[in-house]
Amino acid sequence: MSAMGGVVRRLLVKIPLLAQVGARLNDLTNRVAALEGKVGALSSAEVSSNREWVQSTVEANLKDKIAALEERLAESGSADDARALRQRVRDLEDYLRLGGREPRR
Amino acid sequence: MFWRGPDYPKARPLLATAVLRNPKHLVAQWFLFQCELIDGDLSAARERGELLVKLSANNHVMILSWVRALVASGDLDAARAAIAQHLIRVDPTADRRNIGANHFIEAALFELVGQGDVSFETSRAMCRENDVTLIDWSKVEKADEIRAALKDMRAKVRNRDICIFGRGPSIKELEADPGRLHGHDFVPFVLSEYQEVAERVLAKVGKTPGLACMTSQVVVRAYADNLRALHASDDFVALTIPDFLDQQLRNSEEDRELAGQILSDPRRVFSYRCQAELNLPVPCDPLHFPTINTLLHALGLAILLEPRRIFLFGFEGKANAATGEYYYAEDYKASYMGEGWQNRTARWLWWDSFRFNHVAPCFINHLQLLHDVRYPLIYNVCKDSAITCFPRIGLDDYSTLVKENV
Repeated sequence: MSAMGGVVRRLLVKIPLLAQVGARLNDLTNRVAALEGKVGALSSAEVSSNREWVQSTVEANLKDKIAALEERLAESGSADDARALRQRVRDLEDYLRLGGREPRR
Repeated sequence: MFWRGPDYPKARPLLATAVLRNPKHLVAQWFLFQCELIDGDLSAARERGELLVKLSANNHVMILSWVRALVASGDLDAARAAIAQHLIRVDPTADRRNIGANHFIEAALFELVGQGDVSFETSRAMCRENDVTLIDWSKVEKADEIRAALKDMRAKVRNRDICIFGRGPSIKELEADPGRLHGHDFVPFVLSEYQEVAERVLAKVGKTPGLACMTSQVVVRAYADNLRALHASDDFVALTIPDFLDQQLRNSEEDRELAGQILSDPRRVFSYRCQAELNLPVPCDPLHFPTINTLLHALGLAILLEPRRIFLFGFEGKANAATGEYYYAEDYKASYMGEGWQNRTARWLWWDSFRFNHVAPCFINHLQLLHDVRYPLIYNVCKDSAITCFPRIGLDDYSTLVKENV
């Protein structure tokens, strides 16, 4: 058999293999696309649900915070408040002077 | 953890054999890495840490492990470079109802390499929206009862100082001069060394514990009579224990009577969730405390009660380099010897403090961000302590601080 004949024969053997690989690739591509579609749908539902949860949680916590502040305001006198504030400033200065980390907010 | 148990010395050679047979066995490689790190074989840990990251294709846990080895060996630049090169960050705002381990690891990683601001921002994105906390009490069992209890406890502690007592050798200094505590209005907080602290320190200044944190069934049983007596005292605020211990005590035939006596009043018990080392408190699990050590758990409750300041006494967090001493008082150490704690060696203490120093600031950030409590001013009254994440001060500094008035 000539050299050319050998190449043709090897190609003929490989064609079915290539076809098989091509089919599998095609199948995989379809499956990936399907999965991506599902993920996309899930993500969008989750995003919406997450947004609702964030909104309602923030609202509830703001209400709690306002109630707590009102309670504190009703309980404390202004002289006590001013004293507590001065004390906090002094405590923070001491803390930073002795190597403490600056509070982050 | 096996590296704290009696068979620990056998583990490393076995793991070394396992990874020789299969170098791609990630679990064996990781456990061997942990042995190397805890043993202080840092060059081996660095090499294996890098391998872990390669084998796991940039898994967060493996990145944290490697970075821990780099930081432990003092190579902060390499640690930061490892994060920059390998960490694929997760979006913390994607769905904050389902925050996972990778989120916490990111906060811990940045704290570990000295980038506290980035760590804080990572935590803030998990915990707040428009600077309002996202804490979701509807996900917490008995939330109303817990919130009411915290409110009661806070009324007794808020704006007062808390002193937390450990049993490191530095407590000897305070025992020798308990007058240092005279005139200081503080709430005493004791841990697993209840009796020693109560007798040798607090009794000398006419005080009894106001808060107690215990994390082991053995310890609660050992101090059962003390805990019963505390519950009868008006000065007592609360006992705090992890959820698993709460369940153990309530479900055990042997402890049922004791549980009935010390756990029956919800206003005097604070039970927190405690499932994993790196699970920080998050919106849907706001009372989860990382499983590192009892001090961290005590701090959790202390911070929630908004004290003026918190002082730590007797927390060396390491063994004395010259004597090997790590807990003061042989009788106390001996009492634990029979309970399987004999392997709590100097290296274990090193590991404990090393983790504490980067997990505790993240834990505090999360508590602060979620529970809207003030930034806690925590002092470690032990200048030579290995717990370095709070300012370390001497007894003289403490005396000056508590004598100053506005």
